[in-house]
Amino acid sequence: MLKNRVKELRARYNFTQSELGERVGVTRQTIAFIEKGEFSPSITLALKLAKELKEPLDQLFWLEEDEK
Amino acid sequence: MNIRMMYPFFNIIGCVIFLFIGWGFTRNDATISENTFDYTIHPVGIIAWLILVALCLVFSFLIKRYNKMNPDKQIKTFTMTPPEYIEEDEMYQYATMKATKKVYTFLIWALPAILLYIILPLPFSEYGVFFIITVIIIIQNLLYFFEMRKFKEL
Repeated sequence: MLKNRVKELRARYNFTQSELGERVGVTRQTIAFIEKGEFSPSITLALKLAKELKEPLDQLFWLEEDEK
Repeated sequence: MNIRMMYPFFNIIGCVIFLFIGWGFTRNDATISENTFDYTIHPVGIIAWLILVALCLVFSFLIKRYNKMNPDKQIKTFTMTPPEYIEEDEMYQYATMKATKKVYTFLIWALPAILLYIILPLPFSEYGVFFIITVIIIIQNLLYFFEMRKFKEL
């Protein structure tokens, strides 16, 4: 499962979901779904998010084994 | 209300109205005598037709209002591409792909099943095809709606 720190970092930079979405060219809903881990972004979008949130990609997104 | 999310319901309502129009206009009320041809349309057909016109007007109004409120993502009233496709960004493209895939999977089974139903010696009403196609359209639109609803606004 793909985990992320988008919500935490977005809060650090005081971005709303809409603002972050606008910066990376997606809708507010997409940011909300990414934060909840319900949508895995493409590598392009993940890189754009990493750039906007000034964080290395592997610190922003990482894979976690499914709990069994 | 996001009109594009609700579009499958307009499809369903429109098709149910068409079912009544079809029924009202194709009843066997035509009588042909030597010199005259009388054809009676059942009132249900006429009423359904008027309801369809009213629905189209309401729909056009809703689209105009949506376009006024969303000038950057306007939708056309009549277009070959179904307006229910929401492809604003990669998540909605993914959602639309999932929903259309589900509908396609349904149709790939439903359409041959209709053919089988027609060729088998089963009780078959003259309005059977109208009815079955309407049911398929309803199921297809519900499948699409419920899949897209998973990606509704949080």
